[in-house]
Amino acid sequence: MRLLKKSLKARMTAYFLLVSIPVVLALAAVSYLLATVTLQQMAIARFEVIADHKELQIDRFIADQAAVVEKIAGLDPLRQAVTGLLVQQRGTPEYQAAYLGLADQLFRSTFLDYGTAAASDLTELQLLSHVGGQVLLSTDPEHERAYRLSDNFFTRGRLATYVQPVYPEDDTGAPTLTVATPLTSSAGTPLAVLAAKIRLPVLVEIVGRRTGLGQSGESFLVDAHYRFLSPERFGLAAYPRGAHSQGIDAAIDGNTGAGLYSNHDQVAVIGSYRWLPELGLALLTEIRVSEALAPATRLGWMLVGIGLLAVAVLAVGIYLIARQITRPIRAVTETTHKIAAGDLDHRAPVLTEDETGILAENFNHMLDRLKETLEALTAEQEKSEQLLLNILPAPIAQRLKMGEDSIADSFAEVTILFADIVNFTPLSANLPPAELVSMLNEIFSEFDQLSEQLGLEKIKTIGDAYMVAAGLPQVRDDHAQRVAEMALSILAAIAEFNRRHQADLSIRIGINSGSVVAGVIGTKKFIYDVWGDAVNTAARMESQGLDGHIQVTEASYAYLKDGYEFGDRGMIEVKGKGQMHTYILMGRKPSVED
Amino acid sequence: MARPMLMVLVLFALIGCSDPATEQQVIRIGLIAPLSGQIPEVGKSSMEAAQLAVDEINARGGLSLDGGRFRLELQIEDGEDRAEASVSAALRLINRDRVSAIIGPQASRNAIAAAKVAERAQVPLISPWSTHPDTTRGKQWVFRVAFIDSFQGQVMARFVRHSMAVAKVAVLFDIASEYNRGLAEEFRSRFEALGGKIVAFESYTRDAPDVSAQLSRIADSAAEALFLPNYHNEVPDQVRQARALGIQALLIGSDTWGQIPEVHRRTIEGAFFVTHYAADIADDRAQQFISRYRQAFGRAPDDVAALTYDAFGLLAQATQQQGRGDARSIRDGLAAIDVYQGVTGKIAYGDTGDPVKSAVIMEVRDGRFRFHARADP
Repeated sequence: MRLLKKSLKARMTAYFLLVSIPVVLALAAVSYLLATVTLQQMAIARFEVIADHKELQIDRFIADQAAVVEKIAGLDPLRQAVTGLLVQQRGTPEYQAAYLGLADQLFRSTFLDYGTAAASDLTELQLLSHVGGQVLLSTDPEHERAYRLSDNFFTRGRLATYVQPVYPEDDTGAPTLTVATPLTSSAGTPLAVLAAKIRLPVLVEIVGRRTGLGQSGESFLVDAHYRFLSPERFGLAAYPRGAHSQGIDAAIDGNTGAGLYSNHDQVAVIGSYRWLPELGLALLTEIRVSEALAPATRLGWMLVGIGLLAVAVLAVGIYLIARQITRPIRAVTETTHKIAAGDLDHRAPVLTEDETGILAENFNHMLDRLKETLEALTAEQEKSEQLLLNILPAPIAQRLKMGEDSIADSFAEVTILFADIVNFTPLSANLPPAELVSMLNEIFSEFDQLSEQLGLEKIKTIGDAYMVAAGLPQVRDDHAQRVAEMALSILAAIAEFNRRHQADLSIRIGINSGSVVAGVIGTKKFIYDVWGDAVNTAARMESQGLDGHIQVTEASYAYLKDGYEFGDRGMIEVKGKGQMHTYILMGRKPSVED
Repeated sequence: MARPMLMVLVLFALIGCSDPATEQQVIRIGLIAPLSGQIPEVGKSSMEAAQLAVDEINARGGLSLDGGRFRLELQIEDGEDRAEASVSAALRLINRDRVSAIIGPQASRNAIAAAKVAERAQVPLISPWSTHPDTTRGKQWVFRVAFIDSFQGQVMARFVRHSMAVAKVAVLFDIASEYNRGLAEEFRSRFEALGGKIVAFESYTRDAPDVSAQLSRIADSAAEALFLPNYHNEVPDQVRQARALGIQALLIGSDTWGQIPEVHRRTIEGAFFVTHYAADIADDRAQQFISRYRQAFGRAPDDVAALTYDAFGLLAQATQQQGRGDARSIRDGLAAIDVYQGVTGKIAYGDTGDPVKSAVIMEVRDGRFRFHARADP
């Protein structure tokens, strides 16, 4: 199932099988049914012919036997012998003599005059009295002296030759076929009835001849009471209530027909059945369905086999075709995998010119556009990154990008510098603003450069003031030294500026060291700023400093006193702080090594 | 997996539901009666009594057996009063209709042959009316409701010899019919054993109804009584022929005479005959049967009707006792019955299918049958 879900090839093959296997099976089933019907019709047609033939043979046989009996009855010596017997009183010696004479005559009539061969199918001959139907003489002496006056063969045979349909003999119940004919004197006076029982196995034999019936086919006779006529099957314990099947029951009901049904042994057969009213027998011809329909079964299975083989071959073909069709798609898929892994330079191969080819081309186009866009995006991103870095220190920018929305870090030791151009305000009154800004830009750009060279963090400019710090956001031990260097460099830069522009600018610088909090607050136009008392003190050092000098607090002095020359300014009143001891940074001490 | 199981369950449920819901189960009983042929009145009475018995049993809700309640279904076949046709009828009932039991045939000449078929097929057969010993002789599956001819011959011989003090009797009988011949011979030996004399023992066959030649010889025999153990369809004519020949002997008849229709009874005025039961002395049970029968069919039941009705009663009791309605159970039930109180009296069975029961001797007076005496075995 997973394979079906994952593989287009497998699914296409499966769909094909789903459609084609039922078609093959349906085809086989229909062929089987059609063949079945045809074979059934053929079998039935054949059975009809066989049954017709057998019926004809039976009729001829019965007619022959009836003719034999009639002929015997018509023999004059027999007639005379019967006449001789009838005039005698039973029990007298004369009767006995006449009886023996008649028996002798009957024997002659049957076997000598008429011929053994033709008469041998008569099993018993009886002479019955014309009135009362008493058996005067029988080839089976057991039956003599019985009265048959209610038997059909007697009542009908008294009038004309009569073949009584097979009936159960009243003593044994065995099926019996009797032909009877009136025996008259030469003058035509009725004397007796000559009755003959016909050997039934002859009928069984006629019917049992297996011509054109195949292996399991058989013809058989059943009497009106659902009993097989054949001696080997008659009265079998297997059929305590007679042999029944659709064919047997229908035939005994007087119907003629054919069909597919279960026979008396519950075996499915194709059978033809008919009722022979003159004989009171059902003639059935049956063949096992398994045999009769074997060709249809073979055909059906053959079709299933061939069909499935064809389906299998086609399935392989379908699989290969599906693979051919899905190859470009798979190529595109592989490309997407590589691109997903980051390789934007990869392109799908265009293998065909059909829809999948167009798909690959479009895909490649899309990739091109995507790559351009991504590159443009990267450039833009770098630019904005740069801009951001101009405003914020790199680590802070990084943290903001990572998602921090406000940053406030404490720094125990930093040094802050404020520088203010002293006589800038009167200057600004005389200069056009553009020139003024240009000038300020030149100066502060110089400062920015210095700040960058010294690894300081420029905080901001406020009008003509410039604020820079060291020791943040990266903690460093020489923060005071670096700021001192910055202050000295600013003084030098201003001097250089004055010289270059014949200007008379002066600058006041204040420095303080201490702990601060640095960070970014707010969401718009934010900057990296510092807060704390140390910052205010630094600003006070500048505002209450001396023009052209660098005033430092005692804290900064403590850091710098070893490396720099200071002038002691002594205690000054600082606004908001009270008395503070400040120093003026003069310059570097001459190096020991120097 | 679950669906097929469910379907099977539903199927079982349906079968289970349909079982009590459907019509009651059925036990098929065959009746072989001479509806055509020479004694159709016997056929008619058989059919009517059978119908009445079956209707009554079914109206009570059928038989309550092991598998629930069973209705009786009657399957009637015409025996045509011919042995051959009766055999065919028995085979049809057994093999085609698959009956559990057969009632009939009535006349011995048909019953003897049909009984052989039932015995061979192992289907119980009860002949209500047959009195010839051969019907049941040596058979395990055949029963009867009537007394047998050895008893009847004895009763008649005693009555004629002792009660009527007759010494010379002539007999005319159908030699081609087992009952007639058997009873004639039985009577002869019994009567002669009692010191009587059979002065004429004449036979005929029923396809030659003119018996004047035999009667002439009887007329010459100086017989005091004429015994006619023949069927009711022949007796009145034989009596007329005898009277025409001047025979004024006492007429003696057998149980078949009970069937002689009223129109012919004056013909046999003064005769005595043995039969199975007499309406005059019927007990309550019999009286009720008579009135129900009369209500249903507008006439009094004859012997055949009463015996047939009892045959169904026996059958029902045997089946009920066994709790099963198959052929073997019914036979075993019949064999197990010792005494059955029927409308024809108390019917006791020994080890055979022949009951031991009383006979009655009837007198024909004023064109009517009147109870004369009872003869107990």
